[in-house]
Amino acid sequence: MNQYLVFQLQGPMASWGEPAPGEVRHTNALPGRSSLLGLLAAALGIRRDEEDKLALLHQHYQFILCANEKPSWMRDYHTVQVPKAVRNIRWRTRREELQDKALLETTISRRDFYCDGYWLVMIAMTEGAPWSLARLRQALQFPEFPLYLGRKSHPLALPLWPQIYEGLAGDVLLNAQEAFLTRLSQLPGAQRLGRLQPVCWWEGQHAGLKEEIRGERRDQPISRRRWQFAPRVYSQGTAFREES
Amino acid sequence: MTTFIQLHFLTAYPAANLNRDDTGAPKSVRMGGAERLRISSQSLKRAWRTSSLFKDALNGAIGIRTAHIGREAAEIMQEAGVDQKKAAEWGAAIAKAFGTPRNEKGDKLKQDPLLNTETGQLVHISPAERQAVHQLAQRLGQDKRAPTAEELELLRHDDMAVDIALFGRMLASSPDYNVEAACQVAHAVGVSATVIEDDFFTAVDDLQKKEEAGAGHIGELGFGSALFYSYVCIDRDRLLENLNGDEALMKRTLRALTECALKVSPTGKQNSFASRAWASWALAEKGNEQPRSLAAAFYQPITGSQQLSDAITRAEALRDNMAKVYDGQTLPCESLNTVTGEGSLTRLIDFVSE
Repeated sequence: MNQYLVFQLQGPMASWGEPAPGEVRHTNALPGRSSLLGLLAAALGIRRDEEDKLALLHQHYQFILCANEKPSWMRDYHTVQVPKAVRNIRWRTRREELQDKALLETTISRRDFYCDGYWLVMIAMTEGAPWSLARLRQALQFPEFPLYLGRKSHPLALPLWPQIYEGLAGDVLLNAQEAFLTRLSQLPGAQRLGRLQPVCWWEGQHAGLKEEIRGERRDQPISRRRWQFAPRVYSQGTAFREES
Repeated sequence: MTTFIQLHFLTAYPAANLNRDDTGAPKSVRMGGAERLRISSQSLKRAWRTSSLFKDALNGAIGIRTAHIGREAAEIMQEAGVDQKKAAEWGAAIAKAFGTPRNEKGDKLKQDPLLNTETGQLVHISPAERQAVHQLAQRLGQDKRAPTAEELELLRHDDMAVDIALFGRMLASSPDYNVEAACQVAHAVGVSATVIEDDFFTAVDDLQKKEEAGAGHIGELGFGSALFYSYVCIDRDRLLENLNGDEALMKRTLRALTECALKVSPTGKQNSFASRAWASWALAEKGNEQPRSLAAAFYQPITGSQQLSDAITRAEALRDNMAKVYDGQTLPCESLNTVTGEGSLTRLIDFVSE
């Protein structure tokens, strides 16, 4: 028997950053491990420079993920104005920085995002985890810092509604999906968002989940200061058993 | 626990192109499977922070406009025993932190040796900045020395606080100066499906000869109209922290932000469309619970002729429903509604800032 904390993620726009420095910022279809850990850190009130606490958080939790059926992605065209670097001048406010039109230069970036995305997230603890699932649940209900879907301008549009379940991962997934869908169906217009693909993605070993494909993604944070990530292995499989 | 202030509002823009994509058409987003108009959060924030409303509310209200800040400093130093020449020199250095000092020579300067401590223009000085100048001048007077580059830099620290405290700052080159934004602004999205239209326009050359019939210039311009739902979430604790614990400044900041959000429009293509608009409905909530926008009220695009009142009904119903369905709290709130005439901007601003 295992314990899982399950919650939903939804907002009109979401962007799960890919390691792609440069002009185009792509989004993955699934929140990365680093995004989810960042969400938990924000909820717990761990600051970006608290490397020790972050390291603990990064070690002890595993995620199981489901995504909805019909999200779509779009590209945002984004211009940023910055003044040319002028020696000995430090602009105190953005307003001041924008005042001298002659110095302004415009750079462009293209930022991808998902529309109508919905994700169901399950968290499992590993041995020696510093924050219990109950503590995480409380932090998600009453977060210390604002939470968002990859970018600060992409807020949550539904309560996370974190729930603790006990059981085999496969059963928990089924029960949780039903409970979350039932709630969604009471919000007119929102229920179809929560229809999940029959696939799920996870880390580690969980009873009731059968691996069909194994993949790798470079999103295990090593150092936030140096912005380094290590590769990690994930499993992919059919989430919902066929009724026999 | 953190206090979050959430601001939801609906603003109706007639034909407009407030925020453009790379093809010059208004930005869009798919929501609930339908195409909507969108205004990016960046565009909204830029309009607010560069507005005179924002600046006046945060500086003009109790700050002063003066060209004499350097002279004040020089006089303080002179009183402490610094000779006139040095006081004039150091006073001018202080003035330079705020503007460009005058550069007079000859008779004028003989008549008034402190003349070049004045700035050529009037500059806004906040009370905290003026106080910092006075303290620095006293210190320099005691030590009989010139201000250091660092001391001059620190003079404008207070002014930095307000818009950066709200919207943050990220400097990849010097991360120590990064400030985490206390305010989260969502992209504004249309509550109904919108088709982006092309305006085919012609301009006629007034001086052209009669036999040369036709337009002097032709062009196309994308535009659209929508009722936008906007959402802003302010982390009150972070804002206070970013403003170094200055409660009074935080309240002024909250008041200014709320007023700007409800009254200031992005400036894109205003000369073509004059599409300025104030919010028709607003709801402010305050509490510790996980913040969430009310965008889900509009996943089903609104159709029909009662868009505004339908949108208000849906947003308010969703707020109640969400609390019920997800075991949430009913948060203290305040609203204004221009359809029914209920509520007022003053009450909303008071609620947000109290």
